[in-house]
Amino acid sequence: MDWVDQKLMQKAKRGDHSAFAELVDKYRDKIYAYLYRMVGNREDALDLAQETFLRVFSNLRNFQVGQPFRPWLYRIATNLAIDHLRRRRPTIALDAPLVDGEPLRLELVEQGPGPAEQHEQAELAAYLAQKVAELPPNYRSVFLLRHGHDLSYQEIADILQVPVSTVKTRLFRAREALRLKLSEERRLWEAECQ
Amino acid sequence: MNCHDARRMLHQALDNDLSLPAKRQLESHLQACGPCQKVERSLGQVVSLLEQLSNVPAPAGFTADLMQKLQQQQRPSISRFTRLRMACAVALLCLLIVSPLYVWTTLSQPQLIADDWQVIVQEGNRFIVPAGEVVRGDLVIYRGVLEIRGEVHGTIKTVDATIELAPNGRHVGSAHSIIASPQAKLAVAWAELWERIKHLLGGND
Repeated sequence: MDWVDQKLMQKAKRGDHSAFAELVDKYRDKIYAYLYRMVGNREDALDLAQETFLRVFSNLRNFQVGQPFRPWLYRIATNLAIDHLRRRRPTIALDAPLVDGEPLRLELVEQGPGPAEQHEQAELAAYLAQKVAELPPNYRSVFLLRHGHDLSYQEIADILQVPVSTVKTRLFRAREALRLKLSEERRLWEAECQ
Repeated sequence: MNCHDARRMLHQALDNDLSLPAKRQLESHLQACGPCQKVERSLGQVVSLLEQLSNVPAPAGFTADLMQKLQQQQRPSISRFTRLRMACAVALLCLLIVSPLYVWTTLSQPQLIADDWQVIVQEGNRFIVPAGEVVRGDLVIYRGVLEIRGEVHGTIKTVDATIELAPNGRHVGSAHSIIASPQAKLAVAWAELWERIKHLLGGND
């Protein structure tokens, strides 16, 4: 239970706009990143992220203080993303990557590795992003929620309204598929370099 | 432990879903098994890369845009509850103004209650039983004049009213004159209003 969130929500419920803005500031990057990985382009991600917070605002009354905020927030975002994907699905080929053409810039640069390794990391991340985008949406959301956003099995099960066992199965499969893809890619690279 | 078990457990370990003894078993297997070590490394990499992928900052001005949208949305929206309350208040106000008005107009007009009322003709404040007609049953008349040119068989009650018997007219039965108290008048007017409302709501009866 995050007490800061609870305090802010309590204030927001009473009509305190600055408390609500504080909550938005706290979660906008996470929600935007999640939606970006879910829908695959920045414009839609931005629209959906704004819509997510608008819905939070209009549903403030339905939020019970004491109820965990983060799963509630991700549930709204997930539902919006899945609706969005469902609506536009007919226009894209099943195996087309969902990531748009622009090059992936990674803001996170770990200290230590040299330029070559950094480059490799960035390329691997770009490759992984593409593979994540190719997962079916219900696998993608489980995977992202668990590893990008650190929600528990139970929280993810609540968000997606599926049993915990389903969450575990999807996670296992998604992780295994991506691991295999990644090692395949690395093998190819290593073969080229030698 | 074989490699198949170990790989499943590697996933469980990532989710802190492994008991301590199981963890120890897995560790000793990994120390002995090169391929599984590779799997562990690549799984770790998938997870850490994914964490990187989840760091995409929202565009600048995100919060400001949102708060502006909120303010635009909020102004015109009056909650459904408030709207309902306003409608109720207006209805109540109408009722408060209209009903005394109705009572007052009813009380200032002559009224006739009779079983055989179709036969009786009203001319201004005069109620006329035409010549040749026979009215059977009781009659109550409020204000005005009851002019009997035909025949009336029954009791006539007059409230602030008079009876005029034409030369050929006939009244068989008793007549009572009542001076109405204001309360009684009001009660009659309310009863009349109630009848009207029932008529309006229930259709023709």
